[in-house]
Amino acid sequence: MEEQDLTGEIETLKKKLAEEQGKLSDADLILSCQKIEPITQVNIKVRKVLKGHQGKVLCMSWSQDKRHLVSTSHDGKLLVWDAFTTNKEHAISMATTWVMACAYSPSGQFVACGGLDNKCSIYPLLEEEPVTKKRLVGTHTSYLACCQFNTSDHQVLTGSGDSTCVLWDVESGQMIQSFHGHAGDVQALDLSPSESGRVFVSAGCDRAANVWDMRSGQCVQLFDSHESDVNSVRFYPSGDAFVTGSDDASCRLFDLRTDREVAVYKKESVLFGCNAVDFSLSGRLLFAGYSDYVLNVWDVLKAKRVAMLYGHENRVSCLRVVPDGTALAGFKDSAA
Amino acid sequence: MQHPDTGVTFKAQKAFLSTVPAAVSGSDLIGWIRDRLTTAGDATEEAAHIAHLLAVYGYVYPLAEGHSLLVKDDSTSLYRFQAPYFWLSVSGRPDNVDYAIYLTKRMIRSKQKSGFEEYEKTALTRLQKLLADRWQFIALQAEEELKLARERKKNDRMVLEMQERAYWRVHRPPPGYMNPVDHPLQRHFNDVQMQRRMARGREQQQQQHDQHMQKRREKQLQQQEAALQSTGAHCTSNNIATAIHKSMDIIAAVAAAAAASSAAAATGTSGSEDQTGTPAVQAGSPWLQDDQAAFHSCQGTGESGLTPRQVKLWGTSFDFLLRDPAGREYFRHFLTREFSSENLRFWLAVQDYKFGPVSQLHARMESIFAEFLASGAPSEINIDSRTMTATQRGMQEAGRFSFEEAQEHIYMLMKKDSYQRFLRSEDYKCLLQASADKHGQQLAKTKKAAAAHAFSFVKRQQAGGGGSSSKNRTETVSSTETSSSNGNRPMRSNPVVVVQMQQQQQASILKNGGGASTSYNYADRGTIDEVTPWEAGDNQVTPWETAGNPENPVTPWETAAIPSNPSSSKLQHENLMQKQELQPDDNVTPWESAAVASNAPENLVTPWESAAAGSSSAAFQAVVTAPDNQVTPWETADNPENAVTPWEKSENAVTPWE
Repeated sequence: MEEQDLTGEIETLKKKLAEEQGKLSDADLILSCQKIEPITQVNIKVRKVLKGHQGKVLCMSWSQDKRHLVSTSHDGKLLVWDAFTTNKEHAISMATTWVMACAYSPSGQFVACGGLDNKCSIYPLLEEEPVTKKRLVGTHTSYLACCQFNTSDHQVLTGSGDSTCVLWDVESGQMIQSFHGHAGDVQALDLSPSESGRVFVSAGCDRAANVWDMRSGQCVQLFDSHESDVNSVRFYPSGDAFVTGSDDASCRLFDLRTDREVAVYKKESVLFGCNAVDFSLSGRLLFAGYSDYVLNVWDVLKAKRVAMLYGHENRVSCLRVVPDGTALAGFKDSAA
Repeated sequence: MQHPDTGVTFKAQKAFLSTVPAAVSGSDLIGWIRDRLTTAGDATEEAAHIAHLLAVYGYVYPLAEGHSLLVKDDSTSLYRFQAPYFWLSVSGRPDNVDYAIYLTKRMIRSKQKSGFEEYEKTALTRLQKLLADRWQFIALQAEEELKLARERKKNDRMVLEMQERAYWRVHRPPPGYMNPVDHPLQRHFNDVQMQRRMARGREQQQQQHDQHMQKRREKQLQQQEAALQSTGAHCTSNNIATAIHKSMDIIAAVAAAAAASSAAAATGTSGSEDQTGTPAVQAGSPWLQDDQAAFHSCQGTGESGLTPRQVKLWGTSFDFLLRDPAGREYFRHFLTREFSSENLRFWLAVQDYKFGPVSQLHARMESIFAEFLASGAPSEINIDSRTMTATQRGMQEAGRFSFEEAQEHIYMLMKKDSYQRFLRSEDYKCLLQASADKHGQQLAKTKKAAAAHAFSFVKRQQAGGGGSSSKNRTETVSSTETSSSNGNRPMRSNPVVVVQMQQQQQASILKNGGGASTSYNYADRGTIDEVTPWEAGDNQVTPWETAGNPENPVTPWETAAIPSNPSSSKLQHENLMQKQELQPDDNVTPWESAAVASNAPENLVTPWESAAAGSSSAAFQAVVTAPDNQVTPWETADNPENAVTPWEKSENAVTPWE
């Protein structure tokens, strides 16, 4: 009986919240943006193809120098590419073949990665043998799904299948702060681009996206309007909103200040789950990679699809825009 | 789809000696799908996508050589429909024995005709080992099938071969491609979602049918119009769409939907710029050319300067300026001239503190306090008492966010005040100009100016006498003393100082040495087509760390080498001569006093200090903590000393020498 009462109470509270939020919503994003010129043409072509992985590419990350990128694949290799010349600069063999997360450090000297081995390790790229100088940053109790450097080389934020996110200090390998609150595996996280460095968002298999305050370690906002696992999350360039991509074939734009979902990017003909999302530099375009081999480009303000990009013969598993916004790399599930 | 009348139009393809019957061109295929199944604006792409999926699952196969299954939307690439026998839904999944038979056949045939691929070879050897016991049977079977095939007509045989090949292309893909059967496109819905979708789908089908009919009518209309006009049909449909939009009554209420307004504001400028600027951007995009030089010039890395895009980006948001190291440096120089660089330095210091190693937290906290927050600190920042108490409380906790309140306060200060001024300043405008010029490769203008300008002389080595520099300071101070009105003032007076220096001394003036100088690496810059003297690495020794040196890069002449007015330096040179005569006597400056040992600054009551309300009486501090109270030496309008000089007359950028 107790349980039933409690669940009933939860439902009524949720309804009340929704009502309150409904009162505050006095404008619709799509309507408000109708006066804005529509995007006429998205002129994106495949410029470079980076071949070299022998297995599925699981994760990738651009360097701040806008030129190098790191990618990990199912064949157990971590490759650092010079995207412009398509040369491979470093090839590091991992202990485990399932490395699902990788990140380039802001200075370009380290890469952090982790996966099914539950550990997040850092490799210094300046050494001749990075493998030997591997350094363990932190350990979770389940697989590592995503990791990112927190503005500098000294702190790493990781999200794991044990439904926690943790901020680690690289030098000492200690945990600085841990964030509990997800009800399922954390699949993706993104740090806010605002310079204060206090906010980040994480999303996971509990269909929810949580916004955290790094100072207090608390979850300050929660958005759970997705219908299925959320695979990817990315902040809008201004830092006030973020977009999530999920297995229910839709991407949603959530706003932090108004605390609600503001737009949904979906289409009847788009049936397959979205695996990766990223914004263009201005935030007007949203690039979303799906399981049916396609990359949809959405107009963020009008919620319309403006282009479909191909060049992929396989599932798009991860996708990132170069820091200065001039190019976009999508990795597909095969020899990339 | 294969219906002779309503289906896709077939074409025969001539291949080598025989013709392939019933081939379909890619564009026809996609066109048919589009007309039948899709109604949205991007129908062609959707149709192409559906066609691609059909090919992936083996219902359609390409005739071209190569492994790609991409259905191309042109009339020359040809495809054929797979026979139902080979459909995935009919045949199910084949096993290794079948594959072995097929490979054996191919091998035998390949000796006569087309090549046996590498991956097929390896697969064959692998299967031979695997199925060694049944190999005799397999070989026999292969021969039987070949014999049967030979009895058929040539055309039929060819068709069958192609079909078989396509079938195995799907089920045993070459390396680098995924088998769609083993790795199906995953849909993770649950049942409820599926049912809802189906119900919606049924409703919409009716709608779509109506729309479809309407579209057809429209199309006919358009075709007629197109016959009359020269513009294509797609233009007219666009007009209809925009007309509809315009006729709609849109009430843009942008209240609590702050996302819309901020998004619109942010992207309205940069977004529309994105589109309108796309051709320009593309011209500048390093990915279009293939050589390294292009990359460097476009990116502005290494030796080169900034791209106009980059500079414009700084104008859109304060965060962008702070994020870009070059932007930070420019901003810092600007602030240094305004005597408010301690704000930025504090902000940067706290950033390092927040994101630095935990082991150094305590040490850094102490040094930040000593440098910025203690009363009488060398670079004391101006924060109100409430923030100060919060900070002190934070320091007792010694966490990463101890200085959070102070940092936020300073950030807002910079954003609202200094940043706005920076954007309006000559510096920024010249940057825009210079980067645009460079980009358009009009180096002549800047080169000439640079020659006149004092760049090359500034060799930032470690040296610097106190005496000579103080003399410079004198002049600087006096020049700033007499100028007034807007904040653009210091920018103009500084090139004056630059030329001054050139005249008086060649030695470097930099006190700080160490950190700051590494960032001003002007040496060996013969040509000035780029504008970033600090490209040579960032300062390891951050200025704020070198405690005890009160002069810390906050001296106007350090920033002198910024080519703020490259074109006007020569003219300013002349004006300088006049100015020098004006104030030859003022030798007492706040910096000097501070350099000595910060003793008895009270006697240095320079005009602007008295006007500087709210700050301490110490001259040095008053000057240094300028920005928050908006009173900078040259801005005090009520200052009687501000005689009418040529600089004062104009508010905007139009000055006698420009």
